[in-house]
Amino acid sequence: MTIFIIRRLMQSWIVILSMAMIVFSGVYLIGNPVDILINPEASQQEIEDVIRSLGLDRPLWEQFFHFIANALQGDLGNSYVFGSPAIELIFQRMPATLELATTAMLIGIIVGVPLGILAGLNPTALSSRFVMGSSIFGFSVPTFWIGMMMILCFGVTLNWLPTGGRGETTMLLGIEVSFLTLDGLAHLIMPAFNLALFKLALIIRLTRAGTLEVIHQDYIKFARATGQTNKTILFVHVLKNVLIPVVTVLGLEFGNIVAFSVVTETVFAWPGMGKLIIDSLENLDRPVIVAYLMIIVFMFILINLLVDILYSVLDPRIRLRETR
Amino acid sequence: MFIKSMKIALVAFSVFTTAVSAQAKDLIIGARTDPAIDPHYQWLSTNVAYSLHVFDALIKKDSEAQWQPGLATKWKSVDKLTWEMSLRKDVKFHDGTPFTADDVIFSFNRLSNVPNNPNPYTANVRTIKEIEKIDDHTIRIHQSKSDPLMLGPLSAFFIVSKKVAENATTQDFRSGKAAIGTGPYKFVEYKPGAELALKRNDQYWGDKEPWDNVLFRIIPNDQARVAALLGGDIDVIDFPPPTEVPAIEKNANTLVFKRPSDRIIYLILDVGREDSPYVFAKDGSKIKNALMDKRVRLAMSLGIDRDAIVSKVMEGLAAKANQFVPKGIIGYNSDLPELEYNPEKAKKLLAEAGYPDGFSLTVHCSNNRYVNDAKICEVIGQMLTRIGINMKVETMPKNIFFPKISAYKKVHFSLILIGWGNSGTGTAGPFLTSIFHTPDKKRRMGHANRAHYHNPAYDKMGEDAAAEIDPAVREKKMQDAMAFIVDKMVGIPLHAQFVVIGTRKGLVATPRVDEMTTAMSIREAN
Repeated sequence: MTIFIIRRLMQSWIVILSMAMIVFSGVYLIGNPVDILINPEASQQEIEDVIRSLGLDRPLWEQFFHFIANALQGDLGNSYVFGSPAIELIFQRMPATLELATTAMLIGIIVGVPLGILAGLNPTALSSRFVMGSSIFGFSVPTFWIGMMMILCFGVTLNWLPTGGRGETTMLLGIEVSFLTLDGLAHLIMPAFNLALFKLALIIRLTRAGTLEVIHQDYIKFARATGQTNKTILFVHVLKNVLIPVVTVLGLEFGNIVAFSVVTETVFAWPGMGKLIIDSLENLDRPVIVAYLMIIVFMFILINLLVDILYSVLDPRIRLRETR
Repeated sequence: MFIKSMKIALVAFSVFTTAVSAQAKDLIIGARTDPAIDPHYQWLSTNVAYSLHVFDALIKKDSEAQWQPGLATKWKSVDKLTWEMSLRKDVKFHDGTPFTADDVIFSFNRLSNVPNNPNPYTANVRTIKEIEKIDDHTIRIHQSKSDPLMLGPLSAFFIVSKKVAENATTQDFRSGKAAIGTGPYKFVEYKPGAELALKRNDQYWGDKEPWDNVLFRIIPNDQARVAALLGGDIDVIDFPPPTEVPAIEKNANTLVFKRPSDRIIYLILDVGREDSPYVFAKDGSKIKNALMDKRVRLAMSLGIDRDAIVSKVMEGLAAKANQFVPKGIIGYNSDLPELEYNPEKAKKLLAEAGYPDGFSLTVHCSNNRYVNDAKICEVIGQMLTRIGINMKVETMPKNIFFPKISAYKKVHFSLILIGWGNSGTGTAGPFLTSIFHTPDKKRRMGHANRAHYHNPAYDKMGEDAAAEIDPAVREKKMQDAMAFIVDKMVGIPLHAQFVVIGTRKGLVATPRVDEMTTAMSIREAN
């Protein structure tokens, strides 16, 4: 298993490097960031001076090798827009996004799995139909619209919850978090729920399908025949088997939430990193775009690895092997 | 049961939040962008607006973009290339150090030497060769060429403390270590992407500010910003989208303040290239650039219904324009007539010019740079189709658009929609020497000439006007140049967009012509 992990991590570097290359040349193709960033009153001479000072007059391959050489020393370049190191910008905003994503995921799991199992155990009951029916909304109604409606309803009209932002934060192990203060929680609940809606619908459907399948398996019948209680059957035999596909999807979805929760972050003015990547794309802030995507790729690789490891814990039939 | 306890919790939250916002004399402003904090990094009007709180410049611009004393109390020209300025005495930086001429000279040298800066402030001091210290509170500014308009841009040249900013990086400003100025507010804390906190500077040399604390909450999304105001979370917002302005006006707890800005939105026509990339005959074959004929350009202006654009597209939040600077900016020529809307006359002119059946033309626009830019473009496409020109409309994000209209490389389009702000100097000077002036790299002129217009007579008019020291003569010269270029119709002026500020009830906002939102322009209603 250790060899498996080491090998996986080594492969990840190849992926990250090619990612950097693709993004680097892609952004280069769109155009020169100075054309967008510079004040319209700057003269031609001033524009050329700036392009030279940023090294943007060099050929692409030279810029790329310069970038890689710096990257190997841990320097992914400075943002053109903020002037601070790209990597620092991203890590500054990461806790906010992680907090939001984790809360959303927890809401999804805590609410979704029980509902899914219930719907799977009694597929014909009225309550199950209601759960399944409403999960369609979670899938099909766009997140930003629900977000706006939630703000309008709870923030503007009823004035129960703040309309956006992070609220009061406290430090937990050197990281700023919102969920430990009342004000922070009030700010967190709406965006987290908004972000969770889609995942919730997904989890309910996956769990229900899994339950329907597992419940008719021989080992469940056998467990029943041996006289085990409903509780044991449900929590040991059904749940464990249902969770395997759910874990796979959750892993990928968690990555997605962290990397691209931009819609929710924008609507609720949540100072996370999803907003950062959109702004950076708009301004062709190449150092930030490249660094961001490299970090995201690495995160996905890590999550996939964790999912693989979780598999072997949940299902002993699956062994992690060195694949050849 | 669960729902019920949720409800109780929610009520508890709302009670809690109202209790917090009920504190007096604090101002929360919802802003669109993050601040740079370092006043010499990233020359954007939004950054200048943030800097106005913490720092001062030699010249202060009032809400009409006219020059007022700042850290300089008096200025006079010694000769054509030299200005002498008296500096304000008894001014202290936030850390207690007194302000002297050394800080001015230090700031001048720092301005052009901030590393990794894609948008330096250097253009604001481009004609200054050297700043000489006469004594602690007198300086002499030596210019490389006569440029009396320099006084305007000096308002964006912020003075930092030599003591703390020597060797300070942009990063040190963001952390607050070097964010020490002489301005009306002191820096407290900056959380990237979230908020900037300021508190009143009680030692300020000017009028004391009424707000104890000012908090800028960064909310880039337009709808979210409006919702935060309507929900009572914040006191002030800038740049609400035009479609949301009626909602703020109608709400009993919020108010709208508006005025025309310094930014004129206009069309630039390619009048210089015989083979223009997007001018074709109706059948798609290549023809000689029809836009070179003045009658065609006039016809296009006659075909545009500016009233309709202002009322329908801009929802009334714009003022029609008949020239390239708005009223109040020096160089505005009040003798110029309104630009007429007359499609019949337009068709006649087109026929006279040899295009009775029109021709094909594409208009290119950004879709996220100016207020409603893409919508304006579509409407103009329809209006010009009605006078017989076969129009196509292409809109694109600004990061694609601007690299393609770079005047110093290649302008890829034939007809473009663009805007130009005039409050840098508060005069038409930069417009006259940049937009339709013959490109001249060495003398730093004509750098935004996307029309390929070349006219030595016009070049001279603009240069003379911008270099004139006598303000009255200067104004007259600028007005003449303005009349000249409007008559040539190389660009078609459309409108000035409005600056709009939304506030909660009980506040009064005085929007600035330069579109900057500051705590200094927000007061409590009496």
